[in-house]
Amino acid sequence: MQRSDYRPKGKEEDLTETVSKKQGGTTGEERRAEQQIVGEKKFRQSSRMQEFKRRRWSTRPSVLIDQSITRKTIMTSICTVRVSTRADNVKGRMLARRYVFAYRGSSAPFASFGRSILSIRRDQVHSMEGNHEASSLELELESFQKQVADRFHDLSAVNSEDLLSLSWIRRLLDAFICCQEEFRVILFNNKALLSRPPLDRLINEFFERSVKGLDVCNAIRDGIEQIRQWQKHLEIVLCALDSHQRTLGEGQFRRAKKALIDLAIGMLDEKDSGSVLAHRNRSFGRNNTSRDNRPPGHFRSLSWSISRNWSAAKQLLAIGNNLAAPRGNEITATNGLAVPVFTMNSVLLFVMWALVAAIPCQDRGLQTHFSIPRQFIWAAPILSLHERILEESKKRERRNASGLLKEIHQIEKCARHMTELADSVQFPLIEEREAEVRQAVKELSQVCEATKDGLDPLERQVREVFHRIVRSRTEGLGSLTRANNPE
Amino acid sequence: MEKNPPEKSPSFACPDDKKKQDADRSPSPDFIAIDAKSEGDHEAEDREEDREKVDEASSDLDSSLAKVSEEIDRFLSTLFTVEEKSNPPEIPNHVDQFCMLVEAMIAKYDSGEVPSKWCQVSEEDASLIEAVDRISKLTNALGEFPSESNYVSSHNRTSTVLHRAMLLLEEEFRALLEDSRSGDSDPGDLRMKQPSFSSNHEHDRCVLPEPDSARAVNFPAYSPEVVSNLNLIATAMISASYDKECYQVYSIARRNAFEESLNKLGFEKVSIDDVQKMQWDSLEGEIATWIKVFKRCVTINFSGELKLCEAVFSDHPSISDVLFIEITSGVVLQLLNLADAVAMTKRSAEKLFKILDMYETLHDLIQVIDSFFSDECANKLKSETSTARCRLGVAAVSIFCDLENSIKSDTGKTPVPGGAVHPLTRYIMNYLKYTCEYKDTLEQIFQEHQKMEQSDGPDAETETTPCPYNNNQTPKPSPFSVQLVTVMDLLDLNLEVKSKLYKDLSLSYIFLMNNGRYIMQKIKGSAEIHELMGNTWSRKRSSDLRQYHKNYQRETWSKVLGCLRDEGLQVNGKVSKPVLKERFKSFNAMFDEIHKTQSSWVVSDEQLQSELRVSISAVVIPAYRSFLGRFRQYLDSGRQSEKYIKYQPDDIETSVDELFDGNAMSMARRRT
Repeated sequence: MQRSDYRPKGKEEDLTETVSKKQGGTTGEERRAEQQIVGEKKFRQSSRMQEFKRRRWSTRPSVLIDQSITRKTIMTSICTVRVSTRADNVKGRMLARRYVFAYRGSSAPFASFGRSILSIRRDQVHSMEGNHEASSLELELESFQKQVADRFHDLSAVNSEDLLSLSWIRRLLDAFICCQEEFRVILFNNKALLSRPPLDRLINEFFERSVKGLDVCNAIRDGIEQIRQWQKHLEIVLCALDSHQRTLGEGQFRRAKKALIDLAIGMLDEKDSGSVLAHRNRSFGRNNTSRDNRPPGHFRSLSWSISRNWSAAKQLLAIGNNLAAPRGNEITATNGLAVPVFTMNSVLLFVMWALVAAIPCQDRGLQTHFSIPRQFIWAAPILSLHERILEESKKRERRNASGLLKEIHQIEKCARHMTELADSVQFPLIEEREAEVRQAVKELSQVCEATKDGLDPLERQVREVFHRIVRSRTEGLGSLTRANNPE
Repeated sequence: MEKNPPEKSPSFACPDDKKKQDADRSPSPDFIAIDAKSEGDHEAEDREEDREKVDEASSDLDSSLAKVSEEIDRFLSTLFTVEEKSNPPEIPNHVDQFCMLVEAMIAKYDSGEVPSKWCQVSEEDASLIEAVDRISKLTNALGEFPSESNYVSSHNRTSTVLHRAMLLLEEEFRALLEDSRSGDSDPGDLRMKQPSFSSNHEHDRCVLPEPDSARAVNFPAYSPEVVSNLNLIATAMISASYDKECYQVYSIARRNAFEESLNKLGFEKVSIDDVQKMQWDSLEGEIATWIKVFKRCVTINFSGELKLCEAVFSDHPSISDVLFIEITSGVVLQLLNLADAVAMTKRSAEKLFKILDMYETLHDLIQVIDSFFSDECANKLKSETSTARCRLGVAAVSIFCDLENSIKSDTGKTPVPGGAVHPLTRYIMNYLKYTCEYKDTLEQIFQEHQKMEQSDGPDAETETTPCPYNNNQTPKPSPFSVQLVTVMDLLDLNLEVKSKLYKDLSLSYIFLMNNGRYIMQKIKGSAEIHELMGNTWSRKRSSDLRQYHKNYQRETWSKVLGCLRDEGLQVNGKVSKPVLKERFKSFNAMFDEIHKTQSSWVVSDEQLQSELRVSISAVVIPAYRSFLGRFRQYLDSGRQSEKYIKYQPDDIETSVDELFDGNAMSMARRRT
């Protein structure tokens, strides 16, 4: 398809035309003012567009979401965002320089963002003709940088209480989905550029990474299921020491203690998966000798989608492998598109890493290295989150946790408290103790409820992330092949 | 489990010791270690006590149980009628006695003295179940009086006994689930392994599932006795409020068993990433297994699992639903994973058929989902299944549409020798023939795809429907047939370009005829393609072919026939000998040349070959014969006639029959 097909046919073009007609007769000062208006108008329109799209997907059920960013929407957005495919060397160099400015202009408030960029340009464009054509692609890319930065600034503003809580993880996934959608629109709007080297390679690499992310999503889904299994132990504890029971007898305490032991064994995070399996086997009650004679493979993990030798740590390493910020000449050669590709790669890596950090999954490992140059405006919040999560993982009480999710920690704390209580009680039970137990049960049931309520939406969201990645990849690869086989 | 050595220690002890060790070794949260230790100690003490009690009690166990039970029942009924909670009756000694009796029974099981161990419902099992039920009621009743210290301490006692009984039942339940499956081996094996019915089998207490079809397909392969025991234990645990433990054990054991059964069929979990890296041959194998496994799940495993759930939890239908979903929905998701992964692999033509197979399999699943799963879960699985299926559909469409590209990109500049059928024609037609074996599926996929595109497209209403109904009789052609026609048209176009590579115009017609005929034959050979392409198209093709034929005739033979015309032979009203000689000479030369070149040309379709020969003979031979008849007289007989009349009409026929043999040597041989 020819780029010219997408040329806007409405007022937008009229305006631009007037501007370019005027250029001959007006002073440089006026011209720049005009340019600025046009630029800002486009910028506003495109961000309105994105707002619209965001609303669309967020209000529709997930099946519909699959088609929610319909081609219609994207087409319309193309009409508002003009894209230039002609990139001469001068402009390329310009672009490279301008992106560095874009990263640095991090403190510019949103409203004045467009203007500040344009004023930077004013000094550079100056005598260059025809350069204003490129502005919408540049604005689109700059706005993406800004959006990503804003989202992660929001996420990193979390207090240490809520960091890695279920609700925070869900916000993180929300942010990922938004970034992914915006990135998808950028790819769609610049189809013609995608198949040109080196961008084609960069995009292909991105899709390869995102496929690896899919396996992480599946592992996380299993992890969520595992937490659900833990909850079942807790439910037994709650059932045994239920507040409806008028008398808490020794039998009830024994029942609760058994469930707590099973839970504790289930929650062990051990590198050696074999012994985890052995534990898990025992976690469902007593053993007898006949079972001990079995081959170790008999007790498998409850994981459904991940093969036995799969490793989250290795998968994260594979996603992060060879991920480096684009060089100046790469930015130039790709009309700047190498930057959002790198951005999205980093977002993907970070989000997957954070998921693995929070949720139990096979062979967790957080040694992934993040090499993000500080001049990207989103680097600071991501790197600070990375650091905070890493610190969390090094805390003494969390070092052996099977997931850094706050709710898991709460479960652990409650379970430990409960275990201590159950161990210390003596029969007949004195009133004071009983009150204490009843209080602990209450707390435990609150933790249980909160976790339960959060897991289902989280699971759906992880699935949504999965679907989005698949769809974006299918589309992206589709337009790559189509570009290679022109009609 | 009947293999347990008799000296086996009570089962309580060993796991706890193990637990302690493990807990000490592992860098686990500290609460485990403490707990495991204390629990272990408790149990060890208990065990000692148990031993003594067993010795004391076992003597009069059987005789006293019935009597004590009666006493307990009486006590229970008085407790139920007590109105004032503050003033309950004295607790009789029987309570303590009863506890001891039950503990003795449990100990007997633990020590492995009960030989049959639940493979059949023995008298002992039944009485244990009965006792457990009684102690559970007793515990509940005693717990109603929290202010009475006697009651509280009795409650401690009974609840502990109850807990121990429950541990035993839980363990037995798991053992039954895990060990008494006869595997997926043949049904005969199953009978052998299970002990025969005993006389005291309690029909009235258990709901026996009719093992009719289960026996035939042998999944999940529990004997009816085992199922009834499972039901017995489940009922006992649930009524003692140990339902959660029961569900947990059941769910885990069945999930593992289900997965194991898939593994036995050769199914392995593969990550999406690995699938992308896999060679197609090995992936093809995975897909074949996947299809087998999926079909088996849909036809056998799911219904077997559902039946088992319903049989074991016959009194709790809602629970059996939940458990069934827990056990199987994970399997479905796991299976769908491979569909997703395959849909994401690099597209290539050879993958189409396997992808269509997968698509059809998922289609089958969607058809039956409702019959297995309750509404909410069915919806979730359905949407996941449809999504996966949809992805396969998109992959199939894109692979099929990619045929266009492979035709377009076939721009070789070397003509096929002899005007034979081009490899591209063969490839495309054979591919289409296979493809059309999936006609219905592809029709469906393309239909769905079009709907998707239309709902997506920017101007669906205005442009994509170019007045489909020109008259009411002709239905709109299906999107798949449109695509098929597109492919065929592209192939035609490509062949036309290729035909221009031949310098000899006649040969290019032969090339077109050959390929055209091949295409027609393939289409005739496949009812599906024929139907899709329609009669009009076939008629058009046939007339094209006839046209090529005519063109060929004209191109090759009109000049030859020109030699045999009357015009120009006569000079001043007389036949001119030199002109006549010239005519014979040039006829001979032309015919020789044609024979020489065209016998090396290839027409592999026999019918076409004979049609061509017949049509040539029909034109050339009569003309030659009559020419010969009329003008031979003007040549001097003898040497001159032999010199100019090289061929008799019969020779012409023989030579024509040698055309299009693809044999460059035929002429040379003849010449000698």
